[in-house]
Amino acid sequence: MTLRNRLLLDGLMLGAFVAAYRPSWTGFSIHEWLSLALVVPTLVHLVVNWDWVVRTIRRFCSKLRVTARLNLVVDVALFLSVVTVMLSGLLVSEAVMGLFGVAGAKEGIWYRVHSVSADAAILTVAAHVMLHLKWMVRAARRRVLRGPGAGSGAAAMRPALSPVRVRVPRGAGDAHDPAGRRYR
Amino acid sequence: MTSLGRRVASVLAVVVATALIIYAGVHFLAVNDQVTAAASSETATVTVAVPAFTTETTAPRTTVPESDTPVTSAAVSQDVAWGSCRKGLVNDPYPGRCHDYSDTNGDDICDLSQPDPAASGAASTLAAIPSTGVTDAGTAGGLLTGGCPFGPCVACGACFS
Repeated sequence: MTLRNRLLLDGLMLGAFVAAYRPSWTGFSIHEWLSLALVVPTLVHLVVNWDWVVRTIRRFCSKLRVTARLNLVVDVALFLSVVTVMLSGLLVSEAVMGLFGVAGAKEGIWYRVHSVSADAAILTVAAHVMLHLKWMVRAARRRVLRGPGAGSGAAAMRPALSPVRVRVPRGAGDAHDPAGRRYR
Repeated sequence: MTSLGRRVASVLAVVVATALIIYAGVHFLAVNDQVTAAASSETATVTVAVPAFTTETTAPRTTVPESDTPVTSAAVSQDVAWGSCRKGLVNDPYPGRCHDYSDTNGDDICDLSQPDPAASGAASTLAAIPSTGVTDAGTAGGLLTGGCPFGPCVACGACFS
């Protein structure tokens, strides 16, 4: 996925997520459909970053930067809260479930779970954005500087993949690289 | 399977597994809640969906019970912190803005934003209101009592206050 598309997807997701936070801002019907529509980009976001998640989990107990560790903790909390808010929202929904002729859950506990998980999700989204703010600003600036055509194609990705020096201690290789080769 | 396919399958598997675990956990809590509530309400003989309010007044709307059996509204208000909305909202409709939505009487208004029907003194006068009761002029045909909280006197038609 190109830098431009990732930025676009993440920006749209963030906007939709904030808009869907309060049903009173959009009305219940839009709140429910917008939240349901968020499932697909959320899954895409997860698939795109899945390798990083797996790699970081594997290295969590060994040497890992504090920021990466913090990122993983926030991301796991975000994942749990988003799954919870989506599940409980689907169960108490009237517009979406009503379309399929299914009555929503009437237990009060699901409303409470939905409210609490929505608060947790919006807080963790804020933390997630703060932790990735630098990347977002850098990517947006690169896109603005290179004009509207930037980011469409492999050539546009090249600046984002500019060489970065990574210091790997001797012998402490990546989990995928038992030989402990140095990455350049 | 390609790398992308593997990633998609992994993501879906993790999402579904997480959702199932969360569903099972919350369902377990809900069942536990119901069991506890049922155990604590063994003495209650009659339950009735009672309080709801018009937006103009804070007076309780009374749904007329089917039978003429006297009703104690304690059965209704148990385990609900009526009128304890932490944002001070009154008659907060579904899904509520105080994030603690609870609706035991099924009127789509958060119980926390409604006063306790037991505390309003309804317990003593809630008995045996005839089913031909009063219709609130402000609402379409419902058995509401907007300006007359406990319904009129059967004999003289005067409003209890």
